[in-house]
Amino acid sequence: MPVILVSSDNQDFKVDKEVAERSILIKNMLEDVGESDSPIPLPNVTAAVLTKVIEYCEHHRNDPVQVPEETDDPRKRSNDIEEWDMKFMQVDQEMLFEIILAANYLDIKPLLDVGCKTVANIIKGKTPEEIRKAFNIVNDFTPEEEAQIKKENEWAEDR
Amino acid sequence: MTTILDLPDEIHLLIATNLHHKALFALIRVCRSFYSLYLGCLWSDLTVKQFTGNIILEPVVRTNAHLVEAITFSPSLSLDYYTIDFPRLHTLRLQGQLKHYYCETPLVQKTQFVRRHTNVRTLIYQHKDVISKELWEVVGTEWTLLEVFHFLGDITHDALDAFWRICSQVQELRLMG
Repeated sequence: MPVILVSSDNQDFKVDKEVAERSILIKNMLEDVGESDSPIPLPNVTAAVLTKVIEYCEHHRNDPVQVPEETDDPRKRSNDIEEWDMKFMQVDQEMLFEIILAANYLDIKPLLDVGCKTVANIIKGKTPEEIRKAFNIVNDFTPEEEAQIKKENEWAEDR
Repeated sequence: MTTILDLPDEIHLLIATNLHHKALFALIRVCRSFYSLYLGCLWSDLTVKQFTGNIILEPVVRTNAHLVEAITFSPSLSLDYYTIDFPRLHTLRLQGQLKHYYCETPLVQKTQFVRRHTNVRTLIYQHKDVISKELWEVVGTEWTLLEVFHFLGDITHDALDAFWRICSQVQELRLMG
C-alpha cells in the first residue's frame, strides 16, 4: 500500500509503505494512525531533499534493520562507505547538510551515518585553514588564542 | 543557505565519532564554535604518557580534566598526574609497556587516586607493580559501579580475598597471564 508524503513546499510523493518505513518517524506515525490513507506532512523537508531521501530509501528498501552497534570505542568504527552511497552523497554541501538534517528529523539512522561519515571524510587530513576553506568558515580566533589552543592540545598532533 | 555551522550539536558529535585525534586537533583550531563543539571529543578518551611519544604535561591535563571520561595512564607517570581529579571518569586503564621504570608512583598515591574516582565502570590493570591489599579493598568496596575488570599482573597473598571479591562482582572479567 502506498503512502503519500507531503514536503514543506507542498509537493506530494507517493511511495511504498516499506520504503517510507525506512524512516522510523514515519513508521511510528503510521503505527499510531493505523490504517489510513491521509497524507503525511513533513514540514521540515523540502521537495528537493525529500526526493534524495526517497531515492536512498528505495535503494535500501530491503536492508535488514540495523542493530545498534555496541563498540567500546566508536572511533574504531569503520569509515567505509559503500559505493552506491558514496555516489549518492556526491552533492553540493548545502544538499549534504540538508540530507543530514532530514535524516536526523526523519530518524533514518543509516542515512545519518553515511552523511556524517561523508563530512568526516572531507575533514580528514586537512589543516585548520583547509577546513575553513572547505566549509567557508571565518577564523574568529586572535593569533594569541590560536597559539594557546595549539600549545595545550599539541599532544594530539601525531595520534 | 545551510552550512556546517547549522548542524545541531548531536550531529557534530556523530561526525566526531568518525575522526581520530589528529583531525579533532585540526577542528578545534578552525573557529570558536568548532572549539567548543569538538574539544570535549578530543579529551574524552586520553592516553597519558610522560616520557615517550607525545607527552601531555601535567598542568595541561589538570586544566582539561573535567572533559576526560576514559584515561590510560602509562606505568612511568610521576606522582603529580595521580593527584588530578577527573570528575567524569568512567574508564581507567593502568596499562602500557615499559622496559625501564624512571619513577614509579608509590602505591599509596594510586590508592588515593582510586579512592577519589568511585564512578569508574571499567578498570583495565596491566601495570607491573604489585598492588597493595588496600587498593583492592577500595576497588571492591567503594567502586560500586564497576562492571568490567581486566587484569594482568601479580597479587600478593593477603590481597587475594579482596581481589576475588571484585572478580565475583563484575559482569565482565578477563584475567591474563
